[in-house]
Amino acid sequence: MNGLVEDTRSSSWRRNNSTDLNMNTFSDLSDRDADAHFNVPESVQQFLSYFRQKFREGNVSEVHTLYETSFNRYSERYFKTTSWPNPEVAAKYVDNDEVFLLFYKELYYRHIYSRLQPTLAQRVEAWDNYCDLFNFILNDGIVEFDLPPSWLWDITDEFIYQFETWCHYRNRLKNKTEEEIAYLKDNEHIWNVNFLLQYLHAMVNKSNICPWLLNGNEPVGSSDPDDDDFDYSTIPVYRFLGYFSIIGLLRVHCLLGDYKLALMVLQPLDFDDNTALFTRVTACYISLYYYMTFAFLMLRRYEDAVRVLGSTLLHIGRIKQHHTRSYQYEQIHKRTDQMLALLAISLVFSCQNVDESVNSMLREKFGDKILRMRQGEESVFEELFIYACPKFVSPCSPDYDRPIDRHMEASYLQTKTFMREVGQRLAVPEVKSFLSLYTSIELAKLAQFMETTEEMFRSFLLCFKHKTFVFRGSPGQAPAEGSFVSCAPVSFYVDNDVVRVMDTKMESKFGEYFLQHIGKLQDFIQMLEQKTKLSH
Amino acid sequence: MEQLSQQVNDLLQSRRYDPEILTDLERYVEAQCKEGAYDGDANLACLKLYQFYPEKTNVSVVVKILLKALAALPSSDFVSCLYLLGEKTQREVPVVTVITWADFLETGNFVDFWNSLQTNKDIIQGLVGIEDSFREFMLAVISRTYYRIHLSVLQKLLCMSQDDLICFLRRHGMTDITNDILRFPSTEENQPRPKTIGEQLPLRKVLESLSYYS
Repeated sequence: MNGLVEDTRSSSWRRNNSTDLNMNTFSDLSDRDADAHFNVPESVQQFLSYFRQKFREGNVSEVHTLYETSFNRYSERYFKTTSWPNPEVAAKYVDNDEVFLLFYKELYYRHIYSRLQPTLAQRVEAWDNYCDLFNFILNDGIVEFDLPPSWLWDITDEFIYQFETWCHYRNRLKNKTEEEIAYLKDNEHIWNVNFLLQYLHAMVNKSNICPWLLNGNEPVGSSDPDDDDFDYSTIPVYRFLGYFSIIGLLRVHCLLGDYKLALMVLQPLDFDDNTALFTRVTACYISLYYYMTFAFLMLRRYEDAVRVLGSTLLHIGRIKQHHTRSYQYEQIHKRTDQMLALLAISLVFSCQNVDESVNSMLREKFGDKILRMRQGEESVFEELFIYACPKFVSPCSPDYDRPIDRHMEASYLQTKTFMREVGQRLAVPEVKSFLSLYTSIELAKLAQFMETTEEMFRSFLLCFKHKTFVFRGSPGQAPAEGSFVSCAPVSFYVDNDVVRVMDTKMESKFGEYFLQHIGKLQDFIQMLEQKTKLSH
Repeated sequence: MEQLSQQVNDLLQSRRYDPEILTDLERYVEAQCKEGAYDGDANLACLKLYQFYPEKTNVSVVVKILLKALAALPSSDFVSCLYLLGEKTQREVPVVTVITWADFLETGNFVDFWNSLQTNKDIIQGLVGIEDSFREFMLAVISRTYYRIHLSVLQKLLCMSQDDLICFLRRHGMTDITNDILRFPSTEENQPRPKTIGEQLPLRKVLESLSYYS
């Protein structure tokens, strides 16, 4: 693994040696930025100095507040339309603390990405900083440090987000200058998918997170850095970074369209564990379930998608209220709606129902669309899919000699393949609605009713049986595992030339009924308690 | 073969994204075709490297991978492969044909599948036993759909002469034939038996709901 890290580092050295000249062409903007921030407000100076002090002290709870709340407050107040002080300027207020500056730079560029339009130079600098930061971490740099998990998650997540935007940026050649194109052409290593994957893998390996997970959330080695069998998973920062990198890999593989591998990387995760590390950061929880269920959908595992989305959306509904004032609220809200859309699509293809409260959310948001999908309107599937899917990327560089915009190609191809599947399935609901009218009918007659030939009708029946024979996992299994079962909305078989349809009996659902009423009673009691509190 | 499979597995563990392992992966695909073996995960890794390095794409290997994945139905391997193919590869003539075959197979349109296969036989050249793999998939679907079927219908669906068909069926333990009508071994799906959908309420769900209120 060390070899990998060396590789990447040498590539960024190469940049320093051979491309600095090139870079000057793009650096006007950063210079101007530096000028603009020559007068850094005093409160910001103090904030930076205090932030660095707490960071050095390893005061996690204070750093958490500074990172989650104060930084955003200052951004809102002073840096709504400009960037934070250039790292070179900021260095003055933090005693030239190189380690803190690595983290500060990450925040600095992240802020530019979220509020401003990053220039080519800034995209490249942000990449270089990630290389420096990860190399530093992988070379034992933060053994002595402790940082809040939410910050570590944001670093991992932002790293992939910036890769995603780079892929789109690079494939949009129409409005680029010749200089910019020449620079891109000569610097294939920047935001290269291979390096990105290598960093994530290196982080997983370094942290020793997989043995930690397989050992029931216990390190397998010693916690003493001087011991030969020193285990990095004993240090929270490494443990979290390794764990979050696994979920990062899930996301990257989904963006690339490799859904099988995406689910396979989740193998070591324990979804039954209520204290699993992914539950520690809401954004991470949502990301994990969004990409996992999206992979289910793409791999035609609609039953699993319904099962997991159903319980995830319930859970999010409960935790959402704690985030109403957080900057993540918007993001959570959007992802929830996307997951609802994924659920709507999956439900049309599945024979399951979801919890009543999720069902009412669905009806409110997509009731009409679900109806139209059930009637076989393909355009609605496409519309919901495009709304709910991630931003796919083409990992390779474009053909620089043909300056056209290709950034939508990956999305187009994924959508096309998904829609091919939708098209193949359209016979299923139609056959179902015809079959449920009879208990026994001649094949030729039914074919006539469906206005088709007998041979064609036979193939509809085969298609129905094939498409309702699905790969399904269960809650205790790893996401990639499962087995084939038949999940048909109506059971039938053909006896030579006669179709025989079997009755399906539904048993009453007592358990669910009681649960619902327990819930209603609890809500009622809570309401009464609040009323009495208020009247006192 | 076993040795090669082990070797490829080791390579994927240590150098999954290294374009230099492509030659080994391609050799492995060829070996699978010759020996009627199948390793979907290794083949996906090969397509992924083509995705990263499109200039290295070998269309004839892509077609072989697609065919092997198609023969592995009902698994989702074939769509998994399609998701990784770039626009240019998807437009190559043999790839387009294989994609139509997938449409035929997935929609139960077996007769049209065989018609198209007969006119494009060169595509499956060198893939040992692939036709029988397709037939096995078909037979599995048919036996879930039919309780009894006339041999003439089955012959058409599987594209076989009556003698070959009877041999093929015997190999799969299906010998119950009277008056040219085959009766499939009974499965849960081809039997007259009312289905009951019971309540599925796992303990986990009860606990989740209750813990929220406690």
